[in-house]
Amino acid sequence: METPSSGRDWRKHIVRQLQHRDRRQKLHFEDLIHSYNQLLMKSNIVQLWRDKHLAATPSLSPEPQNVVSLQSTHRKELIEMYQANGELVQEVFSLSKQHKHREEDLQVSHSRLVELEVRLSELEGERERLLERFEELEKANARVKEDYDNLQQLYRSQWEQLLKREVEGTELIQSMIDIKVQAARDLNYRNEKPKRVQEKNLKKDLAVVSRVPISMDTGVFPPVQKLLPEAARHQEIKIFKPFRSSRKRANTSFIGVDCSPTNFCSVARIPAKVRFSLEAHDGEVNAVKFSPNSKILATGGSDRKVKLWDIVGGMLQLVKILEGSNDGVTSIEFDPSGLHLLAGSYDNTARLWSLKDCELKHTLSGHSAKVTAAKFKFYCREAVTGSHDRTIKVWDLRKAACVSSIPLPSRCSDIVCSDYLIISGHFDEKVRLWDTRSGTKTDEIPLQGKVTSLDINSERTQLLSCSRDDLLKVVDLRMNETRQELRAEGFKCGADWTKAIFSPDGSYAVVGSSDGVLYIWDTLTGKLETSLVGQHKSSINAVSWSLSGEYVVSVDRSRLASLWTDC
Amino acid sequence: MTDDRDVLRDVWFGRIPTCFTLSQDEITEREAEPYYLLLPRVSYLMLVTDKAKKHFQKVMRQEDVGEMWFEYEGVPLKWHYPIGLLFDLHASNTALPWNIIVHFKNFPESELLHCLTKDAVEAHFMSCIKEADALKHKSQVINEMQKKDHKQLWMGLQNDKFDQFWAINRKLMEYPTEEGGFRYIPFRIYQPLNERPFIQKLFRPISSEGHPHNLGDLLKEMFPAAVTPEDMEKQYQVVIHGIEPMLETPVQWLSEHLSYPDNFLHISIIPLPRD
Repeated sequence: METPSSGRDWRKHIVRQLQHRDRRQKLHFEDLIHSYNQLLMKSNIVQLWRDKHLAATPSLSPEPQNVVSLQSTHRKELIEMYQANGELVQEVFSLSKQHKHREEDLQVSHSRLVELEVRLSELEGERERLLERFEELEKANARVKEDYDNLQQLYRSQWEQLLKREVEGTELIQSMIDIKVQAARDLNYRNEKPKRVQEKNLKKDLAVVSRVPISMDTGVFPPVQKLLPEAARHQEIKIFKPFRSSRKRANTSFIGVDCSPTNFCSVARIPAKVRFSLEAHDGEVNAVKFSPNSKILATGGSDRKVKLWDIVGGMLQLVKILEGSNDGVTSIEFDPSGLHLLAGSYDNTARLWSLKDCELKHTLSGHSAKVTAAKFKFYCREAVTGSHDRTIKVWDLRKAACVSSIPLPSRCSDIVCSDYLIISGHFDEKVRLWDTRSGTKTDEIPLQGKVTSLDINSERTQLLSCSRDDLLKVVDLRMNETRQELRAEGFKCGADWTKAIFSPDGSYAVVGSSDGVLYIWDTLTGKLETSLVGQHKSSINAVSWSLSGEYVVSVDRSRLASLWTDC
Repeated sequence: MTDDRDVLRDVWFGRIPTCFTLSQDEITEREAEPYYLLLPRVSYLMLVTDKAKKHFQKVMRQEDVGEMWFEYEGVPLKWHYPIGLLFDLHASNTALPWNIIVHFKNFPESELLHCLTKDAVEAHFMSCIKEADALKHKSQVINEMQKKDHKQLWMGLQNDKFDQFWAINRKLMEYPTEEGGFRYIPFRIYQPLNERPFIQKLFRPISSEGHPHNLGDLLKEMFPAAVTPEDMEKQYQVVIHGIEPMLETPVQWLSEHLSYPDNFLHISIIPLPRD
């Protein structure tokens, strides 16, 4: 119901009324009351001062002047106190600043300390860990060392075992070899049995034949021839049987040496000229020997070989080489059957070859110096060797073992064997005769020079000795006296082993001299028959006369072998 | 409207010049000068008389100081009435300044309430606000507020801070627009000499027909004698905050703008002085 104008009326009225009221009630009194209150306050202050001073100094003069001076003094005091207050505040401020700085420094060092402590603990931890690691490593190291020691020991023991085993192995091998060798020897022996039997038979036949008187006529031949072919056939049969097995064994095309006997000629024909000569060996040729059946010639030299030659058409043809000797060959001998060859050698042994299969049968070792002579004693049963070690050894050829050994005062240079005698020539210029039955020395023949060689005639009645004083002597063995002394001008004994031989019939003696000239004497008369100059340029070492009497072969120091005949 | 704002400010900053005189009965060591103060209309006696108390206690011995109470022309002044109300009721037409006698002994137990601390004043103040809001909004607004808002109201009053107080108080002055006003108008009608302390009844700001009531309607209903017919002499003065508003003023507006801080419209009806 209010019109705006009436609304404004009452509002305005109220506003006016309020303003009027305020004017009346407030404004008039405001300043007055304010001033009044201030005066009141001042008078209160004055009261206070008055009270204070009255209490302090009762004898105070009237108030107004004192009040003023008091006021001024108090004001001054107040100012001073304010100043002091200000200074104190300043000091407090600076001190608090210092304190703050100190606090900060302390904080910093504290934190640094904490850091360092942390680092220290870390390092300690690390140190602990490193110590642990170190211990572990030490333990591991000790373990490894132990293992190493164990392994080392094991290795050592194994090594020792290995050595033992090796030794055992070599011993085993050696024993095996010995067994095999023994087996081979047994086999050889077994194989030789029939040969020996055959030889025995041959001996018997020969004994039979030898009883038949032989004349120089050719008329004798047929009976001999008759006999011999029988013997030969007998032999041949005998030959073929045992050797069948050996033929099967051997691979070589040439199995054996043809040992068929040829004509036995008892007429020695004096050679006149050199038919043929060749270099037989690679070194000095020391020994030469015809085989009992005149077909085969054996030469031995310092090249350690024994060469077998065949005389074909007046020429020497190399048939076989027997190897096995470890040093130069000194002497060669065929056994009476012609099936075996015994050769002495510089290597302190004598070797026995079988000529059927050209195999080394035995090695007779036992001498301590070079074997200068090796001869058969009872056909194939025993052999005798003489050596520079001043012994003569008798060997059993079946066992290839030394049966007896004869000590000598001097080195032996040559040996010949008769039935019961061993005749040895020595460097002490003596020839000694030994009885095999009693085993003692029977006789001694002194010479004037070193004995270089000995030879015995086929009848075993005469001994030919060659000595260094350029003298040949013919000694009768039954009487033990010197029959002849053979000398010649120009004849010089070339070496300590120069060989002089009888002719097959014993009527001549032939020897080579140091200048390569062959000298032949007649043993009955003792006169120089002839001296032959051939192709030899150096000293002739050995000579051999074939049993047929046709050929003479001489060998010299410069490897030459010359074949001499009379036509 | 700026007028409304000015009204609020003028109401808040209203002052009454007062002269406090110590009672002759009191034993003093010296003569006590009277103490002058401009008392705020909207505050309470016990809040603003500390300086006076100190002033008078200086001249008295300690053992003689009891509870302070005020009296005007023989009438003990109730401290739980706002100062403006007390002045309008008792001394509105007298000469200024308002002379109040200060007593320290012989507290009139039958007539005054004890007020030992300011908390009693705060409790009374807050209960008045709550009662007012109960009438205005069925206590919805005051209950929605937090404790700090209540405290802010009290502190604003205590420290004489207009903005601080009105920041919260304007919430209490709002109303839903469809209503057109508060539910009921919180008011009290006081008479200086009366058996009853005050008249407080339910009164709607908007009539059932929808037009707003004014002060005349309120008076007609509550105190018809105050509304004089045109031909007769005016017998009573209707004073609010030291002014007499026109009877056409709408009570809704009055409640919003001329309420005391405790949200009540304290109306004094004073008989006209016959002189």
